[in-house]
Amino acid sequence: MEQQEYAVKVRNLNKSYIRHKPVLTDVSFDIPRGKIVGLLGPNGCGKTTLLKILSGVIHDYSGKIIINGNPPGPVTKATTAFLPDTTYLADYFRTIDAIDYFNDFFYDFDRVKAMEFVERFKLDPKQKIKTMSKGMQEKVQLLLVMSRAAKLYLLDEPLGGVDPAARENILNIIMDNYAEKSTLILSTHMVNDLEASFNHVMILGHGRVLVNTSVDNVRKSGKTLEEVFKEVIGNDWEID
Amino acid sequence: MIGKLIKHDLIAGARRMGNIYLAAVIACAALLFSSLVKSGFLRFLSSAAVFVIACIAVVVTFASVVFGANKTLFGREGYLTQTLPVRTSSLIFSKWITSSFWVLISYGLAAAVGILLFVYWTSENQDGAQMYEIIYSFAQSFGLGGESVYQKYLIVSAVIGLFNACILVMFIIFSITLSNVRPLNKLGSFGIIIFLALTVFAVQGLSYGLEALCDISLVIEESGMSMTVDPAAVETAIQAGGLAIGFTSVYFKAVVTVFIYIFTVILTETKINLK
Repeated sequence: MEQQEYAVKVRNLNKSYIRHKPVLTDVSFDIPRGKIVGLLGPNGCGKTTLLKILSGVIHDYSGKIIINGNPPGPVTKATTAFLPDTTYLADYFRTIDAIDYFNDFFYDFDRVKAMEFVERFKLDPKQKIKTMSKGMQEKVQLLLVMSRAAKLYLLDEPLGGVDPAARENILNIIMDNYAEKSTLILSTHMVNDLEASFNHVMILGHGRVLVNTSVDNVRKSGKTLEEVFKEVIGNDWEID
Repeated sequence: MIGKLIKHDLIAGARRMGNIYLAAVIACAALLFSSLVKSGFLRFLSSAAVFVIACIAVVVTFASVVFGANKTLFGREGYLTQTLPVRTSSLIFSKWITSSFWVLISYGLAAAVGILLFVYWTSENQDGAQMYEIIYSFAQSFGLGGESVYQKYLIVSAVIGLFNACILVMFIIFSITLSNVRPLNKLGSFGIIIFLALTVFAVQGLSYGLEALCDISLVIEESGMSMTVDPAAVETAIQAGGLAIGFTSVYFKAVVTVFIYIFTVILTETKINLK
């Protein structure tokens, strides 16, 4: 029953990079399936760390994590599409090599869809990653993730450092292309721009989950997402 | 999946090191060409080029193994490799197999270049054949074994050499992994060298100690090869023109390498954070 209700279950998650300076402290939450989740919080609140743990690239944490019924591992990685906030493709890769690589390893990868993205983004499939601009590299990584029919998408700041015009375009691509009935967790600072896109919101602060509720509940309270954000984060928001 | 990992790791290795091997092939072609034009200067130049490129290939291959494994497992490319739907044991195994392959290729190139240069410089006046006869007669005069014993000895020694190369690669991957574990990662790339040196010294020291306790030897005779732990049997075989190779360290290193592989997998699964 649990497996059907929740995409992500986290219990008593603790993580620190430096002793006595925890990034996440006894974090517990559930994320229902089929939701578009806005993961919000000031810089250094643990958003990226949380996404890295869920994607399986951070290992030394304590606590229990269940993703679609399984602990992080090969099974969850097969159905989780992670877009980190860094360029991770090898320099010698061309766009076509990256597409073939994903096609080899991920059964949910749609090569035809990826090639359509290549045309849409006006990318040269034979251009090497190292000769691309940062924006082009981000497009390649986005098309790789959005060409998968994953059960869980983890997108770390996909709109960070992107100009407002491109931001809307990228947001549309994400919203139009994530697999139906899947869960999408998107970390961002841009509360205003994305409020309409989310149907669930989770706010992290001081290493804890401060808010984890549906956007409908936020609206019922008569407040905007930004107001709730400022209310729970307080001074950190202003510093940020 | 392991097959796909190996395929992509081999492609990555070829892209990183392809140029140096291409240069080696071109230099070898130039060497052969120089024998046709009978130019002394060209002969010297192409021989030097082949020799230097072979040396560079070995160094570049080892450097590529270290930096490639570090970057693809624990560097920014780790965001790709560590989110693949494969077991960590498969990831490490693939790196081990493919890195060993490239190291063996570099050894093979170095050996081939050595043989090529020897044949090339001794072929004209048959110096090579004379040298072989001298060495063989010299060995015979000391009551050492026959030709077939030396052939077997060389083959076994070569296989042990390749085996040691594969083991060294596993030690390198282990050292890279250890140097990415907190707080050891503060040592940076220097940590890889320290941990590799410590691992090699520890394993080598323990194998010497074990040899003193139990000396397993492979005895090579005209009639064949056999394993023994009896020092008297080894002595008798050597007096009869045979040769012996110590095998205690080979067995020990094989067992240690399996444990180091398992430990590397556990470290990667429990202690590594991608930056």
